[in-house]
Amino acid sequence: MHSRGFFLVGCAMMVEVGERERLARAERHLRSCTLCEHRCRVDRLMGERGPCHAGPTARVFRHRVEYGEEVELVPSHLFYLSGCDLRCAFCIAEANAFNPQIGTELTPDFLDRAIAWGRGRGARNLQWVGGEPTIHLPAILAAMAGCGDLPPIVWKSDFYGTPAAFSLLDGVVDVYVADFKFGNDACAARIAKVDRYVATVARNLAVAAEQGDLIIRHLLIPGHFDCCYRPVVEHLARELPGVKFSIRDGYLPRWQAWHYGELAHPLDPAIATQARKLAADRGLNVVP
Amino acid sequence: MNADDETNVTDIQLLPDGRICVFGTSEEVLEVLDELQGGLDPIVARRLEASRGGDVGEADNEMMTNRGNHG
Repeated sequence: MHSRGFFLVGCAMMVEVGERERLARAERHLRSCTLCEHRCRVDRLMGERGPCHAGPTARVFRHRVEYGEEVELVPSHLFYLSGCDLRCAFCIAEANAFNPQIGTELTPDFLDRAIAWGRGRGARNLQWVGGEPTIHLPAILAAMAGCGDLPPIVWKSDFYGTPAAFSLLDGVVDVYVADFKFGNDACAARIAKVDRYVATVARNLAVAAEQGDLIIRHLLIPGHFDCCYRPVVEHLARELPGVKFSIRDGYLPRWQAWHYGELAHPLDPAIATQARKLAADRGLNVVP
Repeated sequence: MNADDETNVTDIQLLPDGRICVFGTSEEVLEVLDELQGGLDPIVARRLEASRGGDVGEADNEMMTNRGNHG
């Protein structure tokens, strides 16, 4: 009994040291940020701002228990953080996604109370969404470390993070939900203002598949079936056969979509049918 | 719990061809959609099952409900 008790105490200490080290590594990015592939290296503590405009504070502009996620995740308690490293012209969160000053400051106390609120409404998990949560990893990890009892963690991301960011997530995240939005770098650069998109996302998908459960989403975008959807399907069939694939067909022209000819209209429902047929033909594991 | 008022807003858009786009679906909104569609939409039905702790296995993937432009 004695040695068993000692073993448990030893484990707890190891976990604590490991988590402290993880928090320290995360906080170093506030001095020279390389959390996303913009790798801007700004000193966020000194007031410098990179393309995401984020400072050291993360803010939650909305949190609620939702039922529109993949069926295996619902009811899911979504925490929407303001600020993003991408600039998707069609973003449904609109200004909230791109202004990291919007919302309530994420603190351990706020998160603890919010989790209790979500549990009371039946939430099965806590899902970090944005904007983009990766840019707020230091604040998210600190908030979670200060909470007593965490539910399973879902990380919904654009997957434009660096290997350093994914290393910080290893062991913390139970389910990754990856938005694989574009099938080529030209569309990503034109619509979301990012470079080296496909290689970055592909690299991170392979890492996430090793670190936890993975669901890959693709929002069907009008006019981007052959240039974006088809290459995504081909990539998954080739590199991640069997991975859960979620086809989102509810595209609506929002935010600045009006400035991009093909994005200014809802999706033709025939495209969704065609997309499901292609996924089935390529043997993908499409999840509801 | 006070995040802000928008926490309680569900965004619903009805397209001219009858499709319903929902962003931020609550259990109550699911129940309304289920009633509107006479319980015939498998995507809505499966999510309602999940909310009641039922089986969440395979389902058809035909409706666009709840499939917004996240992020």
